[in-house]
Amino acid sequence: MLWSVYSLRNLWARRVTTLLTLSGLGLVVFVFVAILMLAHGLEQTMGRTGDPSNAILLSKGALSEIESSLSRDQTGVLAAQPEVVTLADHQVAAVREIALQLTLRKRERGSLASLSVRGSSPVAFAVRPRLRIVQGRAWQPGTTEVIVGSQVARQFPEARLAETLRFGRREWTVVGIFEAEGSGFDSEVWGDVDQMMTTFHRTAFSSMTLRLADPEVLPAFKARLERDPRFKVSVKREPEYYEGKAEGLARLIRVTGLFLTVVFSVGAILGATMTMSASVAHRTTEIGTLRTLGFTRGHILQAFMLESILLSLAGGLLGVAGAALLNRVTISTVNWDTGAELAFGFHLTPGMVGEGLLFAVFMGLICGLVPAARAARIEIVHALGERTA
Amino acid sequence: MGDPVVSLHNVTKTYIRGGTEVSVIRDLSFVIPAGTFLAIMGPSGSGKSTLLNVMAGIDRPTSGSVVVAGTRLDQLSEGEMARWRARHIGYVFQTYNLIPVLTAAENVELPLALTHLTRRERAEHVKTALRLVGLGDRMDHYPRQLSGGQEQRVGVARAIVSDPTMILADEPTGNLDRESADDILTLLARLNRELGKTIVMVTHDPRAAERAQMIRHLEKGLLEMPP
Repeated sequence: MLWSVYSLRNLWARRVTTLLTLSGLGLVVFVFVAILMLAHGLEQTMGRTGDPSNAILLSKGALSEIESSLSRDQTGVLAAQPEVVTLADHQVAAVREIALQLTLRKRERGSLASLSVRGSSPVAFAVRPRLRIVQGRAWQPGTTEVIVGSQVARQFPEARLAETLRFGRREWTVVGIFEAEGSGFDSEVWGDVDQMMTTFHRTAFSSMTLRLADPEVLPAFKARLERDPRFKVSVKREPEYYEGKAEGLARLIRVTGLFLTVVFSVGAILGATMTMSASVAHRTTEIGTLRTLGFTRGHILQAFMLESILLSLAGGLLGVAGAALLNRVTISTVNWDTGAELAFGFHLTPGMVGEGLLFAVFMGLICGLVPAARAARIEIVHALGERTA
Repeated sequence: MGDPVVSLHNVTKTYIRGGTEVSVIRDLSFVIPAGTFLAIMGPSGSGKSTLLNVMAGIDRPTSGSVVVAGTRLDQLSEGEMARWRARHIGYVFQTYNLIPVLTAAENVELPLALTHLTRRERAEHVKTALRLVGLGDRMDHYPRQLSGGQEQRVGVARAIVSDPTMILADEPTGNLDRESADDILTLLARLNRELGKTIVMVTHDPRAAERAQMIRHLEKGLLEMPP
């Protein structure tokens, strides 16, 4: 108890140095936690895209919808599988879609942006029940009406309700804005599949998504379809497919982030080591006094290590608090795996708070070790001023 | 006078300085009986502080045996020596050496952190020690809020709080004005007289030495024995 008071008061006594040092350590923890939050936010956005009850079918060998091609005949047979849910109007819960990546010139600043466009059909709402229209209405089949995800509406002024988007040499009227629980669909524009196929001279679909009556049957369903020589398709659970599409970007964020964290932490650790070393030098007589009173070398080591850990922990708390301010902040960037603009947010979890603080303690251990060992090694008579007379 | 608390036999302490061997204490042998208030006098460089450090177990002799409170110090390990110091030695420094970030009470409590006393027992001991030195009303003051004389009285309270076998004082009045110095010497004399504490004080001030029961002079590492 007295030891902790001693360490804390010493940090407070040198509060300007303490504050500067813990700011350095805090910055490292901030970067570390922010990167974890960003990568997690991305994975969560992609993981939320799609429904675990759905299976997405692509042509064999295609890694994404953009590369995939399924013929109208093929999809007709595939939709008729017994595992697929039959809706109230006797329609099967299967949606055939085309996926397009378009480059759009933003009207306000004239900059180019990549946009994901999906040609779909109204059954998509039955296949993906978590998706809801928050403003306006759904598109009318056979028209050039579109609905846009909430993130698209936020980023493109021309994609607001009743505005018109220009692509494929046609004008598309925005009649609705939808939300898909912060998933990747929020960064897409949806419209009538037939209109889109005509506009872009497509004869084949990109993918087909099927809602299964029992999600548990997916492995068997997948095995059966992929083995069937008639189809040449690959089957994936829908969220797994979308998660896989962000793997590259998530890895890039993590690697860059960890690199930055390591570089920053070397600087911060050196700074904190110097602070602790100065503290030891400044308190040599104090160390000699404590040793004279009967405190062992171990006690001295412990006191300075505790001080270093408390310093780092305070920095860690500052860093985590700073990172917490980013929680729910949304950024938009190009997903390298798809080439499309994707909006996702920083997302803080209790686990990340723990990891951030643990990382801070780890830095505290590293930067305290050398000064604390030096403090513990000081000879009492030298510490008290080499009084040999 | 009781049994010997300190017993030095042929103690020598040499240092190597600039490649030359310098003898600070030479072949010193003497005993200090329990309950003695001894003043060791001598000019600067006579070896008096080194002698005190050897008796306190914070420095080791180059040769000879040092027995204090029944323990042969030159045979103890570093850790054993620290534990022994905590149990048997109360040390009063010339420059008080209080920890600036701790209050008077916390400074006095420091040696008790090495005991198994409960928090309440520690608080009781601290209160008693500070009252004994006349600072019962300054418990929560930081060293910077105290005068030099008061700081040294806290230093004395810290030295006696764990009820050590012996109090060693290195120039305890060296940094004090006459009045404060007298207060400290009166306090040390009282501790010796009323509580029977063995006190060894190093000083170069004859007026301070006069307050002790016994004075020994150290000259060039050799103790001048009484005629």
